[in-house]
Amino acid sequence: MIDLLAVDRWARGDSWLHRASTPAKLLAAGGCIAVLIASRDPLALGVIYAALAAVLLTSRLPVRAVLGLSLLPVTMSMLFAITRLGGTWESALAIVEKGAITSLTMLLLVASTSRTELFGLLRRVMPAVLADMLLLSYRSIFILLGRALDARAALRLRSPALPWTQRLRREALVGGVTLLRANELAADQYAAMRLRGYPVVTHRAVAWRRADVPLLVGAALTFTAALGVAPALGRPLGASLLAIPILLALIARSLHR
Amino acid sequence: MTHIMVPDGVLPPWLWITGWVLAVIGIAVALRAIRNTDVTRMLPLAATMAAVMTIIMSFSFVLGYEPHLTVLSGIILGPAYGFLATFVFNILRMLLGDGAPTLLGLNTVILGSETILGYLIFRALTRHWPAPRLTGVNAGVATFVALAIATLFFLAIVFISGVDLEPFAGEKDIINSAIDENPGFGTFAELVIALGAVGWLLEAIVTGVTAQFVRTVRPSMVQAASEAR
Repeated sequence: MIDLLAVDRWARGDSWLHRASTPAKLLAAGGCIAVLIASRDPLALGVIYAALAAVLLTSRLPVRAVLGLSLLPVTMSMLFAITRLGGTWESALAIVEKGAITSLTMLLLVASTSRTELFGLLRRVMPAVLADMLLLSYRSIFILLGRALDARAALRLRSPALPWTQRLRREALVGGVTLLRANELAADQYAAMRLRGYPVVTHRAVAWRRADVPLLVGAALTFTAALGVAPALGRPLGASLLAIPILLALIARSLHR
Repeated sequence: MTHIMVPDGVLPPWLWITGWVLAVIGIAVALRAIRNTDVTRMLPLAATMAAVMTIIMSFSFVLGYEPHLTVLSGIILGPAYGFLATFVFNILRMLLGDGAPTLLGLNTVILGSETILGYLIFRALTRHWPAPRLTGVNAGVATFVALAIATLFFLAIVFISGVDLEPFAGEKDIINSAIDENPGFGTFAELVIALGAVGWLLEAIVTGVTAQFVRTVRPSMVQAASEAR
């Protein structure tokens, strides 16, 4: 199971990535997606992934946990790469790299951005109903998970071992009760938000910050290296580009310690 | 299972752009349909269902099969709120690293069709067999049929997308070298249907039991059942 509760906890951290503004992070993430659409070169994609790994290493996020989470969706990309394309090792590698890059990009964005700022920015580009639904859903995830885990633990502690049919009914009961309770809590929360004058227009969500400079400069350099330099250098020499961001990140990490 | 889990830049642009256009049209129609509804009651419920879908998606029943409970959303929310909740669920999935931004439109259309189909089938079944004790069976059947149809829709999209996959072809054929035969679309479809059938059944059971429970405890919450009466 994906540990969704952890993602919310990570967003409260303090690192250069956490301090960068939401628009800058969205811009950098958009750039990564644009490279994925434009390029099918495994080397270019490798440069992007190496840069993302460097960001992860220096962002004080739990490296193993984030990497593990980001690799979960890659299994389906692998199935697609093997069964669908019938192409080369390189094409299969490119497909898997693309899946891993999208996943890590999105996780880095969410795990380093406060949900208030992220959804505040989204409210500017989406219909109000959808933006409110998105915000409430995101909050409901944590309410639901907490309630479901508590209810399941209580049932397991107080109930004897049951055959699987009765266990299935019990789990469905936990799901049903949790759904009803989470809906009541979400309705109360929405009513309270509206009473308090929601939505409050916040300018903090779209304000650029000094901490954006390393992120945006790094992103620009990475995209140039991926699309311009790596293909021009060719395979053996271009592959050395993969090591540069990781090495820099490891040096920065050790200096910080 | 029915959402497309390929990375950005693999499917041809015309296909994912069409998906986005269809999704935007669907959202516009849904937003128009909910104008005269009780938004303060339905919006938190739709948000809760989107959250349920996001959590359920993080469990894997069988290899590669991600349950979504899209049909349960359709049954509880109705088609308009159900479609919007499906879109929100896709955004949340993407933010949690499980989804490609370019495919957000296509996935909303495929999963949204599951939601709407499930709602329609459940409503039709409930009209014929309206007894509250049959809610679970009706929901289970609706889930199985809706997921099967949506999977065929999903496979049709993957098949159409194959026309633009030639640029990936090169010198070494990994499939031929590995098992001496090129499996291509046929094998992919067989795998998806074989794994999917087990998943549809399990998802149908979970949806049926949950719908039965909700109908018993809070009958007003089952939108499709109340509309079928």
